[in-house]
Amino acid sequence: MTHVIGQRIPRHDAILQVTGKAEYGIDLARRGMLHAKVLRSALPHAKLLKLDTTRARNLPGVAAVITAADVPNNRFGFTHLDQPLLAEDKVRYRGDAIAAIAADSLKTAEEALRLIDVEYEPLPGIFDPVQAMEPDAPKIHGESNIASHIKIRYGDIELGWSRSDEIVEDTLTTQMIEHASIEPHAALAEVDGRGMVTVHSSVQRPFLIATDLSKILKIPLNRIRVVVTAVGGGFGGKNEITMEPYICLLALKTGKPVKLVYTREEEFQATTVRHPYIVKYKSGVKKDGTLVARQARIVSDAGAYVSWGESTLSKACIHGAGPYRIPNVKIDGYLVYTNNSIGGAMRGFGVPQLGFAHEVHTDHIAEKLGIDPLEFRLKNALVDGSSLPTGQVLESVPLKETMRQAVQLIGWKKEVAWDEKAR
Amino acid sequence: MPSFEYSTPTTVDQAIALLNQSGASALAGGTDLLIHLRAGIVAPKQLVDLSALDLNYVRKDDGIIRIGAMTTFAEILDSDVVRRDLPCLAESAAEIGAVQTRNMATLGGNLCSAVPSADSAPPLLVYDARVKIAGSDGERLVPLEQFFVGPKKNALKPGELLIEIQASVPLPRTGARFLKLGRRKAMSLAVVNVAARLTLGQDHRRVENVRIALGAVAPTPRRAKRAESVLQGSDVSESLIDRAARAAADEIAPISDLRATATFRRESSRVLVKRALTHAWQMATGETKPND
Amino acid sequence: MIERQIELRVNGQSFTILVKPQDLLVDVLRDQLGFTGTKKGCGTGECGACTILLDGKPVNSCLMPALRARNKDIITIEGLGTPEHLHPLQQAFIENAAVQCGFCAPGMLLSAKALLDANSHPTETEIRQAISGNLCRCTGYAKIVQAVKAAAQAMTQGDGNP
Ligand SMILES: Cc1cc2nc3c(=O)[nH]c(=O)nc-3n(C[C@H](O)[C@H](O)[C@H](O)COP(=O)(O)OP(=O)(O)OC[C@H]3O[C@@H](n4cnc5c(N)ncnc54)[C@H](O)[C@@H]3O)c2cc1C
Ligand code: FES
Ligand code: FES
Repeated sequence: MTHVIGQRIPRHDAILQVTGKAEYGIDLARRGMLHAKVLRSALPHAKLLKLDTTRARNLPGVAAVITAADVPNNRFGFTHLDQPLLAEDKVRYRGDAIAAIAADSLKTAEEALRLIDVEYEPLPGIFDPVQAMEPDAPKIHGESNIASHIKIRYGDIELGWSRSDEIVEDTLTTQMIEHASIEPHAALAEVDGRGMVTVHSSVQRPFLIATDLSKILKIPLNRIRVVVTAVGGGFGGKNEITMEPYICLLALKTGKPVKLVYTREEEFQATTVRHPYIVKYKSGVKKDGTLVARQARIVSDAGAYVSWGESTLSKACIHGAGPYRIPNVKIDGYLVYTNNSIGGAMRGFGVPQLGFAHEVHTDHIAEKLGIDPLEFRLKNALVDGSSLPTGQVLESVPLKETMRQAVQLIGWKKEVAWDEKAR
Repeated sequence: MPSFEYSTPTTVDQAIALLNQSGASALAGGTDLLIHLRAGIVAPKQLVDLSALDLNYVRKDDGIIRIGAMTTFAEILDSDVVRRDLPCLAESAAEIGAVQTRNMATLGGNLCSAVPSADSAPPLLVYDARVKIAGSDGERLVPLEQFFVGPKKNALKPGELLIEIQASVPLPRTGARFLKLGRRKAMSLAVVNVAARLTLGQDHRRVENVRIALGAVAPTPRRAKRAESVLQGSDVSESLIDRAARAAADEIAPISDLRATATFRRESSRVLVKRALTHAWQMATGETKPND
Repeated sequence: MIERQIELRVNGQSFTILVKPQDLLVDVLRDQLGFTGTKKGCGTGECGACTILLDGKPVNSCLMPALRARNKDIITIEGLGTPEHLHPLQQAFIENAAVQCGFCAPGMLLSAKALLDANSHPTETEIRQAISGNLCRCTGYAKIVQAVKAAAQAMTQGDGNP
């Protein structure tokens, strides 16, 4: 073994990156390849009354058009099989895919998109997850818009309130964020003479993509190969399947390699985003600053489909009480369908939203008690052997040491001279 | 991208003849037009590329500075004439987009786009600029104030071309300043942009002439004439500048959009007008030099 | 639409090609001529991934009809240096870990080259302004600024300046 710790090791592929030789998804090309485009819903919530692709199919240069009927298994999802690859009877957000086209040039594919006739019957849309939880809100899937409810109970919350000298409540909201990696999603699919499907894609999780492809295409896993290109940024946004099934189906149908690159607009509209959260905190404290009870109600805007919504929310709930020792905790996380863009994985997987919320709340409690916010945190911080509200017992928790070092490094409470010129 | 024809005329007359054909559109730097084409907002049949016309220049003769419509913002920044005589325009050029944008985008294109946030508009308004327009009936000179007729609407008739921007060399004891507030420091359209010019009398106190202009706070870039009248003819002072800034904030008509709320725009306008006037005052009295 | 035959000079080499008026320089460079080192991240002049040097000046090739680039000198990342002969900027980007996903690097490097060509001792502010049209989602820019400084130093070593 060579010794690498403490050494400056250049990235092994940096030399290709700085000379423009690294092959990213958008750089893929094959002789005679077709270019794909996806038709997306023009409305956030509507019934599909009519879908006619005849004019598009008849456009010279168009090799294939696929709709829901062409998908062997038109349902996918990580925890909930709620998402159609191509819309069937209904569209649930502005990015919902309705049809996909392969043509001999991008221009022809774009033109063909405009020749697909779609008739919608608009349905009332719902864009606020709290309103979507109301019993009379328009329903996006089935009977209820609540896709999941995650509960954590620890100690006795009522006892906690009764032992508190002071109760502090806050509601904090975070916004939707698009990963905006500089390379958009891009992939190319090809099928060889034996029917072996190869997808080259700018993705983060090739094995998950292969598994999902196998289910959607109903092709055994050993006949699918996913090759990861150089990835021009991911941040969680290239975590799940997006375009791969469309180009595989189109390649299978035409026998030709098919390439698809999302536009920047599609990146915002039709790929996942970080879930916006609405977090309601209620905490009980003693006068001396000891936290005795905390209740959190987290509402996560799933968007039109669950995707990674339940998994990110579970993680958020696990972190819901913050890094503090609190004997009585009650956490409820609700994942709620809306007609917004779909939430997915993004750096921190549900935790950054909570980090923001519990720390603002913590400052607020310290302020109310008139205790220094650092002292308040040090007093309640998790230590070796602390138990999380999930019952997990922690080992090796250098939280207090980290805080003490951090305040030294940033010069906490030191006068900071404001230097205009330095900015 | 939709398809279109493309021509590269070498004289203004040829360009005008081409622009008179139906569906023709002038192409300057393309930083607005190509985006609109791509988004399907416009669909011209023909693009008339103005880059081969002799319209890239900054000249000064008889006290008049003439800037060709095809001069890029990078060239404006590089021009000694502009930096010395129209520093406020140079300040705005430095704030447009980023290096790449400034190497492509032209002054003529910025004015013709006639968006309320066009950064070169407030400085040119405070320098009382005129624009020279050429058409099949000959040339005409129009005060810039009359060039902006509505959001994204300019005074050009079909087939006309903006060919030159003119401004007089400011008198001695003049100070001017451009300030822009965007969501970011670069690559960001203005939430509010402001230019102010003060020309003082020989006593270094009396305001002989004042211009205040704002962008992104009304349907077009516009002057704040009531604010100007607060200062015109009086002895300049901090409190008077304060009053003028309040008057400017009162007379604008900002809207709320994705960049800012109307309230924020109004309050920011007051602060920026105050700062710009204060800088202009210091410059006019010789306390500071341009771009300090 | 009528295709026109034009000559493009890329990295000192001449190419005679057919283009349509609506063909953008970025696409012609990438798809027709194979200079895929030039990237495309937005198509609207916002990200700078498509930056090339046109007569030495950085421009967004996604906002430029290819016809416009006739009779001009185009430099793409392939013309800056090769794996065998790296430009000092490329070397500095590798050594200072100024690349993560690397997708912004071609544009970033060309903006930096234009800066150093005009100004061999840029300040930090000048470096930040020079790359303000190039978005990087990964690095946070600090390492990029550091790399440009290091390259400037390496390039001026021995010219009598500190
Ligand atoms: C990334 C980016 C950042 C930007 N940042 C800013 C900014 O900070 N501030 C700002 O003000 N703007 C900004 N813009 C907008 C744009 O760059 C400017 O408005 C620019 O000056 C337009 O000039 P152009 O030469 O590119 O015009 P073009 O796009 O070529 O033309 C714009 C319009 O004017 C017409 N036209 C152009 N020249 C003439 C002429 N001489 N006669 C008649 N008609 C003409 C064209 O037909 C077209 O309709 C930005 C744009 C981008 C892409
Ligand atoms: S692709 Fe040209 S600036 Fe983004
Ligand atoms: S390194 Fe990924 S965008 Fe810059």
